[in-house]
Amino acid sequence: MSLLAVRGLRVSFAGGRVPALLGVDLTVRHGQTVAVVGESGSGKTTLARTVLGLLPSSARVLGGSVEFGGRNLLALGERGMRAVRGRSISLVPQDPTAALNPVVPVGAQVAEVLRVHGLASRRDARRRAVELLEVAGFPDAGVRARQYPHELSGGMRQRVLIAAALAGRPDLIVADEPTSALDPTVQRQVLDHLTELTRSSGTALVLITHDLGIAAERAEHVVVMADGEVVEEGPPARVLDAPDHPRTRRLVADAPSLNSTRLNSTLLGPSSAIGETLLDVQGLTKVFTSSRFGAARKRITAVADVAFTVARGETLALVGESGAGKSTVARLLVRLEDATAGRILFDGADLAALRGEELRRFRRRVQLVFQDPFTCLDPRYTAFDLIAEPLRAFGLDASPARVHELAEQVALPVGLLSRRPGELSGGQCQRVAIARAVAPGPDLLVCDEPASSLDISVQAQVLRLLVDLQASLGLSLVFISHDLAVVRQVADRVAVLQAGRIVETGPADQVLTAPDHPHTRALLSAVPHLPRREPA
Amino acid sequence: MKRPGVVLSLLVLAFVVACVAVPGLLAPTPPDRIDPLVMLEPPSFAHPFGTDQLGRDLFSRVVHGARMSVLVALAAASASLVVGALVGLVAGMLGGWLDALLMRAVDVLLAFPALLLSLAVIGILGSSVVNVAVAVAVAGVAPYCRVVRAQVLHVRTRPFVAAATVSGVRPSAVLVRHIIPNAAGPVLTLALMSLGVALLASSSLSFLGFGPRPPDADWGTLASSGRDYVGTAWWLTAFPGLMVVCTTLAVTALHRAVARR
Repeated sequence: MSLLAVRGLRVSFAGGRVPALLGVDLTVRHGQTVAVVGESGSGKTTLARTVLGLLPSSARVLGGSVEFGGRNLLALGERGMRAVRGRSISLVPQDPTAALNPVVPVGAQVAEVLRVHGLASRRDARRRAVELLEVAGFPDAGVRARQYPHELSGGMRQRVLIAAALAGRPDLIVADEPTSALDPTVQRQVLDHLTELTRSSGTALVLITHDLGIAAERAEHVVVMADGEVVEEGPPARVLDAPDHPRTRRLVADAPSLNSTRLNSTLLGPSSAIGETLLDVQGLTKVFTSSRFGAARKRITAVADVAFTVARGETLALVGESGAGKSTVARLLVRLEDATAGRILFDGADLAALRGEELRRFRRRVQLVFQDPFTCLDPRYTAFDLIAEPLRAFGLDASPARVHELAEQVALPVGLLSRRPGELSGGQCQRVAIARAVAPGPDLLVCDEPASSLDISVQAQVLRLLVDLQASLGLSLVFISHDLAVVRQVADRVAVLQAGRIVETGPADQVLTAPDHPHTRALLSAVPHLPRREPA
Repeated sequence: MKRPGVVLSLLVLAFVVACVAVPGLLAPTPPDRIDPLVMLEPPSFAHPFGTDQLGRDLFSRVVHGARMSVLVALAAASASLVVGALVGLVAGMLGGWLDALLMRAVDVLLAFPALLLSLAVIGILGSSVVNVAVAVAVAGVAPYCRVVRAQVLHVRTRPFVAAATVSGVRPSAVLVRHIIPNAAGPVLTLALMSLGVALLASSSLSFLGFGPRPPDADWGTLASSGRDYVGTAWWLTAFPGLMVVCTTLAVTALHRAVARR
């Protein structure tokens, strides 16, 4: 018998004007792990929220039913749902930082679940919380339980939430992108814990994810959603290996994987010749000093003795976990930060020597593509103004014709140029940001995780765009990413950063297939694996 | 009519603006015409707010007094805004010892109750309408310094500011094009609220006798001169006071509506 049966569920936002779910069916059996995959906007999160009775007030359920253990959850109302949530169905949310109360120790937050459902007395709950944290992978659970969320890492926080989700011994856990905010190695640990615990306790798991690799590795059943509908479902081996529906096929094709090869420009064929050295970084070191009154000065070494070179037309990928110093290197390369020690030679000239107007003119040659396309664009200006800004700043041709040309270069429809960033999608914003970066005609483009905040299919488009631009403009790229599967698609050479130091560097083929350093191996083994047939 | 409070506030403010712009149209009786036949008359159809001890029409005096009250409050609030924004901008952009110095000075200003500070300024400068505006402006400058500085510090770290720098935009242009427009929102909201506060403060100073000299009168002096008759002619203090309260409330309600948006 099925545990959860969603039938013909229709939900819409804004008083019925924005449909979100158009008749969705979903069945979950006791103890089963079901992955719901799809792009953002496909309705996966709306589905999860409907099941939990956590829809925002602007949403309306227009039809269908959600049967859980024989009861229709839609008929329960808020009071009834409160007894269900945490007790019978619980949630592991996406962002562990936002989901924990910052002023309450984590042990108390786990104990709260037991207390509100009357499963334990105050003292009992505290003891049980420690046990639950122990099971969730904290060897020193007694100490951790008294700590506050800010004293734990992102992975630990997510494990706390998993402990809280399991506290009421629910029959079903809904995990909404539980690891998309985490590093790949941490992601693996957290998913291991989650799947192991649900399996051993016989809890069913609905795993919502945009990462097909995770779905393939962890689920017994995969449901693919697109535009508010289920377009395909079945066992992962069947759905992801031999997809029927065109949307599934596109998802699978766009998912980066370690098995893929470097993208080549669609315009010019295999990558153009790599020239002489453009960028030469020697002994680069950055030490941040916290300067607070009264407190002893704390020195944090973000980047230590980093050295690499980039040739004209070449792509060097800097990979590492968050906190490895990747973004600091990016900011040093474009002189948003000054190096503590070491030299950055660009085309033979030392960057540290540049001041004022000289520095400003240098910026024409080295441009940065930021991680988050929404925050790197001033929300008050239109796409047209944003693309024209660097042209005007460097005294270049900023005519509408030139701006339109740039928009076409990044495949941004000219009709969107009158819109502001808030009215554009993430992918469109990133195209505007890339157009800004290539506008002054740089030699080197530093890309700091340019696609990591985007959907898989949009990510694939942005990566292809970067590769095409590189070929047509003869750009050198420094490509920063934590995602080795993405790096596989764009990099000629790879440098692996760990705690501010480069631990391994070499040609992409070599580093990503036969790594020397244990850290590189750990990063590689953490990449979720998507079974894939050889491209026909 | 989803928000009756906002509509009511706008109506009150429209009346006040009309008083400031065309007082003669609203109250055709000259405010200083003395009529011994109707001394200390209670509100009636001919004299909606009653008359004072010299038989002057109080409604006309209140309508004509609006200009002085509102202009002093506007001048004070604008001066606070300009000076406070400049100080906040300098502190936020330059940082370091200058920031520390300016912010400690602001702390000192905040340490005194606003009215006490205004009285001290008047004590130094002497009493006149202009000095009332200056005194109110000095007392109101500190919140602007704080808010503008906090906004600048916040906006400065937003990625689009770094992006503009990388795009070769000159530092002065980054300030004008990106930092100031994005920092302005909460500051303008604060300006609306401080307009109400300035009206209350300048009326208080006038009430204490530092405002315009007779026969000119703003709402504060009107309420003050009615004090001697408070037992027999309540309308002399009630109506000017009511105007101050209603205008301040209307501005504050509007501030809340804007701030919530």
